[in-house]
Amino acid sequence: MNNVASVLSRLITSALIIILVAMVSYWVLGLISPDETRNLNLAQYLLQVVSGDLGQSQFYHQANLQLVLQVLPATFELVLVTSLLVVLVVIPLGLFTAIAPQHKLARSIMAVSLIGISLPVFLTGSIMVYFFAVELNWLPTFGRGTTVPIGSWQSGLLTVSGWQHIMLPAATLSLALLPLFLRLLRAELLQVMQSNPVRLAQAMGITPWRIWLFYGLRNATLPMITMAGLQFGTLMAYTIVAESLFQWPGAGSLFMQAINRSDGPLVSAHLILVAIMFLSVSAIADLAYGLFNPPLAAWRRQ
Amino acid sequence: MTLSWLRYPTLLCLCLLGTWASANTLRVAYDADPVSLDPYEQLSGGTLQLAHLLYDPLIRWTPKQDFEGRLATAWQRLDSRTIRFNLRHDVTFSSGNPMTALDVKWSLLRAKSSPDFKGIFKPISQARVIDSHTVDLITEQPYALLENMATQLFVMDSLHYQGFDHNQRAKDAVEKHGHSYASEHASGTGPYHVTQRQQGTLLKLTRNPVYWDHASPGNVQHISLTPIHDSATRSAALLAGDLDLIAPVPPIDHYRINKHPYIQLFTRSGARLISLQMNQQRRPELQDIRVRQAIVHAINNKGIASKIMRGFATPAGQQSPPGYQGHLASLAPRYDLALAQKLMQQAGYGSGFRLSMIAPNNRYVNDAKIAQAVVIMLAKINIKVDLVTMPKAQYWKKYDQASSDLMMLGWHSDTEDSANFSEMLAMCRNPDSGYGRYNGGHYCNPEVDRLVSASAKQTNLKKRTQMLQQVEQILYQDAAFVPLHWQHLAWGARKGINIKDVLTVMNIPYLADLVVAQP
Repeated sequence: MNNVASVLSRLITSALIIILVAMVSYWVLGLISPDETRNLNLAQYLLQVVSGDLGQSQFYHQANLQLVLQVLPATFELVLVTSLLVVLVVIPLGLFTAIAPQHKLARSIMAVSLIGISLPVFLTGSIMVYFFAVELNWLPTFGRGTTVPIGSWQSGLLTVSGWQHIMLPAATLSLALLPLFLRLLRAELLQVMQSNPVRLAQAMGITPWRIWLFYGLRNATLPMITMAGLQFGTLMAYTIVAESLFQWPGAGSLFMQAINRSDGPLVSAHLILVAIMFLSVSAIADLAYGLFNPPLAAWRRQ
Repeated sequence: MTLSWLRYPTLLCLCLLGTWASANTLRVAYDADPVSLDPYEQLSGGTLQLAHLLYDPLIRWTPKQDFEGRLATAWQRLDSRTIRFNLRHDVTFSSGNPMTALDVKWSLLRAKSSPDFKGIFKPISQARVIDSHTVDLITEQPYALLENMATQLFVMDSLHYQGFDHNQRAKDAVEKHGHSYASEHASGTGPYHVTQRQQGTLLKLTRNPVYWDHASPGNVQHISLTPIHDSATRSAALLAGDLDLIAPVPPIDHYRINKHPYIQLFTRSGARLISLQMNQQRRPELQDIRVRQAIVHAINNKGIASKIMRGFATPAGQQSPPGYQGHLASLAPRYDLALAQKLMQQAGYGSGFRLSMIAPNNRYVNDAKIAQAVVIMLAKINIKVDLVTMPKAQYWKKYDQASSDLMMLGWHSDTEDSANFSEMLAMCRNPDSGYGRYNGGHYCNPEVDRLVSASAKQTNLKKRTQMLQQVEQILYQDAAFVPLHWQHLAWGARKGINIKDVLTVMNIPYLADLVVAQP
């Protein structure tokens, strides 16, 4: 019963947030394309949004929703590969820097990560392009490469050229997020390692690997999930920069072009869609939280 | 483990080398995508560049700035109002229809109905069909620039654009940003056909197998045009070997591209004038010739050209670039701060005043930086400038409303001739005739109007030159506008692609004639 109520309250909050965002996007629409709002008042606009009509782009003469959905696969794949890279790098590095915090290599990893967090995305991106594309000539500089249709989804993850093209933008984005997660994981692991259950486990003679992976990592994952949910917004902002830099034909590029062309309807529709995505991701993060931490889920149920 | 890591990059290198070697595809990147395949929808450099690939004009400019026949084999002036064009007999459109004089007549009518092109084609009153392959272009008044106009008359397939499309809209409709039939379907006589088009992402062209110009030495079979908005990405893609040809190249990358062993930079002086318009309608101060002179003298345009443009521009003192009929070598840039301050004092504005200013930030090379420099320079004569820069999409609306005191404007003569500058920027604003349409300063001098109008009818070249030079002299004395510089053109290309052989001063590359050396 409580469960239903919590889901309901969550849905109501989400709806309220979306309506608030829609109000802001109506204001943005009036700012960029005043003629669009002349014959459309706020209430009418909100009604349209609620009924799923996000208007038509001035430049493309197509439905905004359709336009964004067309380019969303590109952005989604970029975000997916970025997240994979982050996970693949953060877990071993986090474990290592937490297990051997005094090791020289661990110290230098932490130092380098400081540089990573201080550099803006467009700079790391440019540096990556300079080394890996221009000087070493290993990876292509722009675009998505060859894509293969899976139904209406154009995927670049099934071709060699697609993977070549995704490496630089995904690496650039993950470099921006890595330091934060690395530091968080390391701090959490250090804390967990000193907690009583772990000391008990060590006293019982359980192998260190088992302790690190099953007691340490699992407990340290929880704040990481929260952080991942929160950082989704940052990632969306970074994708706009990275997509522009690498000419990635995704939602970020579309958004930038819409701004440059003063395409008010597309800009405002994009704002609403990003809000919806943000809310969905934070809902997923909360669900995952329950999955990794059964007591919390149980506590919620009571 | 180590070995496999080494193998991967090596393999990648080999793959890239593979694409590098397939030279019959020319991979080109521009800063913006041509909005339409219709040559008469949007008046812009991008449209003209594409039109020369998909269509043919009657005659065209050579890279050496002469005329050469394209669809016309010969042309001769019958009288001061008429030129007769003899058309080629062996030309077919991509639809298979043969090209005749009727297509020329139909194309002219269509151009004259287009909102963007009717101003340019206004002087031509009609095309008279003599026989199937002979056509006369006739002007209302005696007109010296009829040949210049014929370079812009691209012939479209009149039979193909009859009837209605599946949306029941007329196929021949010209509709700006309207996704009309012609904007998405091209039937021309040109050297290339469209094989794939994703607007804003990619345009693929393949050489027309039955192209009439067998004399063309060009060997480019396929062209892929990619718009890359970010100039750093464009340069990097060329340096990395992902592209063969890019334009424009930002000044900051010139050195890098120039010293690269496999890449070459090609620059040439251009004819696009960057200027500031001083809006006399909004500000009585700017009606005072001394104030306008003070502003012109306070702006160090040589400094802008050498420091901000890094020498990639020629500082200007007039509208017409060197080589144009109206160009007067004596009208040099005039930077003199002391004189400027004196003029302000004489005008009674020694303590200065405030001006608003707008400039685009993604239209001309370094436009926003130039505007910021102007703000600092004008502060030295106590004019405080409130500058707002904005993307071009917003800018042109503001410019059309003349909603600021100082406004930046770049202009490339549509006819490759001095008179077009004055007609559009210096003549009194007249909504009926369209003259002075971009005269954001609202400068109005009847003598200038008289001279420019008379020059259009004057077919004696020497007299016409005198008239146009006199116009420049008056504009200089009146300080009608602030001339900044003529922007240069820059192309970056892989070695073996000699773009300079096929590039006109209007920045149109005849890619069909490009000879690519196999690496």
